[in-house]
Amino acid sequence: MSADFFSEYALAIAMVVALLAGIFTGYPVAFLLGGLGIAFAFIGDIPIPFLGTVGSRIFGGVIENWLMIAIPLFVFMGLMLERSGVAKRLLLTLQRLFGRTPGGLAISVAILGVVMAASTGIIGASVVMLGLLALPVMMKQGYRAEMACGVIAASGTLGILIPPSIMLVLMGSILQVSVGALFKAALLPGLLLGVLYIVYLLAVAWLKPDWAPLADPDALDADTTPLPLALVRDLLGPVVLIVAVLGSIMAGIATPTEAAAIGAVGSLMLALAARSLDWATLRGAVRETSRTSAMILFVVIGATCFSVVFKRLGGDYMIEEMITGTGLGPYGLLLLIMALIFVLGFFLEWIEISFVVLPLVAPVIELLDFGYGLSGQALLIWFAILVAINLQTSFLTPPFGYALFYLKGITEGQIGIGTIYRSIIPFVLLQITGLVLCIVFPALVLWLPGLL
Amino acid sequence: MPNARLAPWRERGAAVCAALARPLVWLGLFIGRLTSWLVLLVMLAVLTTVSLNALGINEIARWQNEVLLFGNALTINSITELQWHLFGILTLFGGTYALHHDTHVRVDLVYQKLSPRGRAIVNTLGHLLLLIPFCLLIAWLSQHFVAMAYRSGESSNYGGLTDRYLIKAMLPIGLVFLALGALGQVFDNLAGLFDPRRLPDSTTVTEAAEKTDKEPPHVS
Amino acid sequence: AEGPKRLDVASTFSTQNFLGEGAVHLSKELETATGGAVSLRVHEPGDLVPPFEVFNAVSSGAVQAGWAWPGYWAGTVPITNLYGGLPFGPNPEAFMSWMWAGEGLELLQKAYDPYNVKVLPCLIYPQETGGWYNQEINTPEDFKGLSMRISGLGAKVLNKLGASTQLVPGNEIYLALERGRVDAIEFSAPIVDASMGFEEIAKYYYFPGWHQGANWNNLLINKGVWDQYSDERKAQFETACRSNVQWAMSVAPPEQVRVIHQLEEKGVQVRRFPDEVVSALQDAWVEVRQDEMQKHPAFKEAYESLMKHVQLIDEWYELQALPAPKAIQGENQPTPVKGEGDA
Ligand code: NA
Ligand code: NA
Repeated sequence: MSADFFSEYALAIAMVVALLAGIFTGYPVAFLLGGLGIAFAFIGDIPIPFLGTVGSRIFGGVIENWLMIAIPLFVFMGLMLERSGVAKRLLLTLQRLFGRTPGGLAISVAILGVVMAASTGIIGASVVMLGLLALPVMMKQGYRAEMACGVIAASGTLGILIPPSIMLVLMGSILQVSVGALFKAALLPGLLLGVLYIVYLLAVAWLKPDWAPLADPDALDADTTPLPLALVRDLLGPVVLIVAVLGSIMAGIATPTEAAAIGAVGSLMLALAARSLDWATLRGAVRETSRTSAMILFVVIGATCFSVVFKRLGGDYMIEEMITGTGLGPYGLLLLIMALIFVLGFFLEWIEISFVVLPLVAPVIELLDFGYGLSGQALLIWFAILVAINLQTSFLTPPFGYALFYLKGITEGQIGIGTIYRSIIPFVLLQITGLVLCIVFPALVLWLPGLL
Repeated sequence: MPNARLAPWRERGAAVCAALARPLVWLGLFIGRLTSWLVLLVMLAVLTTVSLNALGINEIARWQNEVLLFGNALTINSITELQWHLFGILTLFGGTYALHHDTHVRVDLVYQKLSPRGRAIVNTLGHLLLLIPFCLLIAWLSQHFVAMAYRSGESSNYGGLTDRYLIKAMLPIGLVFLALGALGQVFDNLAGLFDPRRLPDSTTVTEAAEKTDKEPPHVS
Repeated sequence: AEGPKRLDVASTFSTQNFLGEGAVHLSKELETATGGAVSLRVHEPGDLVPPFEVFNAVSSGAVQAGWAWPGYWAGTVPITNLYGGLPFGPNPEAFMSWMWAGEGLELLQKAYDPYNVKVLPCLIYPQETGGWYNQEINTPEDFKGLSMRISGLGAKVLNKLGASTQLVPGNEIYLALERGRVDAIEFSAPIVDASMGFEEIAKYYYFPGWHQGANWNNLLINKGVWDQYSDERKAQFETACRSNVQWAMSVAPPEQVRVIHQLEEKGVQVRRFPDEVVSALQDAWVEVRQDEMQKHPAFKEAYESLMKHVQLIDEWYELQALPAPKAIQGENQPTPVKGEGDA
């Protein structure tokens, strides 16, 4: 990159630097994003009426955006399950099922994450729900916070990769490839990541038992109900709930957004059935839902202001120049693009990355020869899945990972962001391993859709 | 510190600021608790649409005189649109509610090592330089967007709700409301800066203040 | 003062499909017309503002210009239903004639004037399709209880026949149809639909697109920005737009049919609504139109003007009607797209 590059994009670069510096003051991220957007509009001498786009973006992107309704609904579902004790009993019984397997609880959480992934594609919602369910149980059992937070954040973000996924639908229409094929293509990589998580959890539990202690045997034995009976008792409700959510999507009764409401109502009924629904519980759940969803959605609101100004200051041209201005070979270019998307994931939403980066790089990628005889649709689908894994990873990367913020948001200040950052590092490495595997073995992606 | 003597002007300043903060924070909490219940209405609305769709029903009722927001018919699309109308209000006012509970995410690597005074300074400066300008400017610029919806009588393009200006107006209203909440927090923090005895518990609503309200996950 | 050299245009369509590509093509035409002095920077949907907010943003001046299908703001400017989605509306040629040789443009601009927006009709495309269905439509009764994603006046017509018309956001359409949450969807013309992958999940592709005649895409420019241009520049914009319309009219129709052939090869069954169904739809449209004309005088004025104009053109073609040319023996006859209900 030349000196010209830095002078031409000085303001866009300064914006990123200010953001990174600003978040470490500890001022709320949502407000920092919005405020920096406004500040740089003034610094960059952008005509003030242009900021009128921000109101339109908030209205169209959040308020009128039907998909976002799933966020409070899934958050409510998580809270209800947590407060009614239903989730806790499920996790404990699952642990009995896994016998005395070290790390059994964490593995149960990872599996639950994969299952939930199939019903939602909204990161904020699934991370928060999983966090509300599992974090208190794991902490009570003496899990190290680093271990608990990592598995929750990582499994919670799988939802955007494992179909049905709204991200893949959008990519399909941007890249002009079959959405059905993308869904099939994403399945194995998604499951692969799940397996990698579990292998890692087993390894840690074995090497460092105090990170993932077993439940107190007395506590497990305290439940004298025979295991099969206990399983039926504790699994029945939640399984019915998950089946209702997934089933209503699969059966075409509800869209994924609507299924969230079915889940929310179902969780109310479970709580009612468990006789743990009283006025105070309901009121508490409703109030916390409101605050937690607002916490998620205001990050989106702030980011929409930040990014429109960032682009106006040449941020998107800067990205374009970084991609096209190099003389790299196919793999070099692929790695550069992956690195770039990874970094952009630090501060842009996946929707914007998809819209900004994919149209820029797709024509470039189409012309490259990666061997394997990949071309046309197969090549683009493979590339799309690589991008999808990468974007999923970017939700997890410090300092600016949305999934981490959402998890932080529900810990009520009892777990520091530093702990969460440390917790996620091994999982990010696992993600990168998964990504590399998909690059080296395209069959992982292309075998299921029958493109190899 | 507790016994340190404070200059009278500081005590007075603190008292004034605290007095100014109280109604603003109270208002944010009051409205926030109220709008929280909308989440149940959103659920109800979604279930209604799903059921109506399964039954193949489009129109539930039709009447003669135009009614605010609903026009002269209640259709499956009125209820679909009602979902995001309610959701929008829930979100916008929830933002202020979350502010008073300090739920908005912070990267607290440095923040948690700051003194209460340092935190109060970060929050005061942030609210004054970032949040309040953001809210007021975007609210101001949304005038056109609301006025246009009002003048043109904008309504649903799907035979759903009418009077689109109502929900559009919620955007500037919600943002101004957030700015007022932020101002309340600024006064609250200033009170603490004038009189450090007010600091430790002053930045957020504590458990005691809203006891029945929540039970955080037991993380320790 | 001279207006912007590079006009920021918020598009409601991705430049990856024909409708959005039209804006990119217009930019080239504009560069040619102005000797390179003015061009467009076309922004993808959502890049500056979400698609439905484009009109608003151009009106307020938040965005200098927009590239849009006018039906999106029928809730604000009711006559745009006529330019963006008129059931049983005219073909492109007749519509174009009304636009420039009739009152079309004048009435459209009059409707946009209160919003401080200059409108330039810059692309026309043939009528859309009848939509993607997962169940057959053999009689008007088949619409009873049918859940379909369709907007605008066409939705009101289907409601009369007992269909439940739904609002499903763009990103969820694919899933909703795949899973059967809706039985049918209406999206756009084949060249656009083909990019959405609907052929993977729908059995039938129905014709004719009764719910929308020819459609326009317009370049919208904030009046404050537009008035900065000299009269010569303004004329060059008009020239570029007309040239763009000519491009679209030449390119689109044959391409539609090529795409339909490709979709058929992928296993989609192309059908036509039986005459009985079309006639029932027409009757329902008469009712809807009556409501609409009563409610919106501007719509009534434009509709009557359009129909009067179309009448003239129809009369001309009726006088001139000829059978299709006969083939020389042994010559390869092109196979037409066949709809089963057509027989
Ligand atoms: Na998913
Ligand atoms: Na990140």
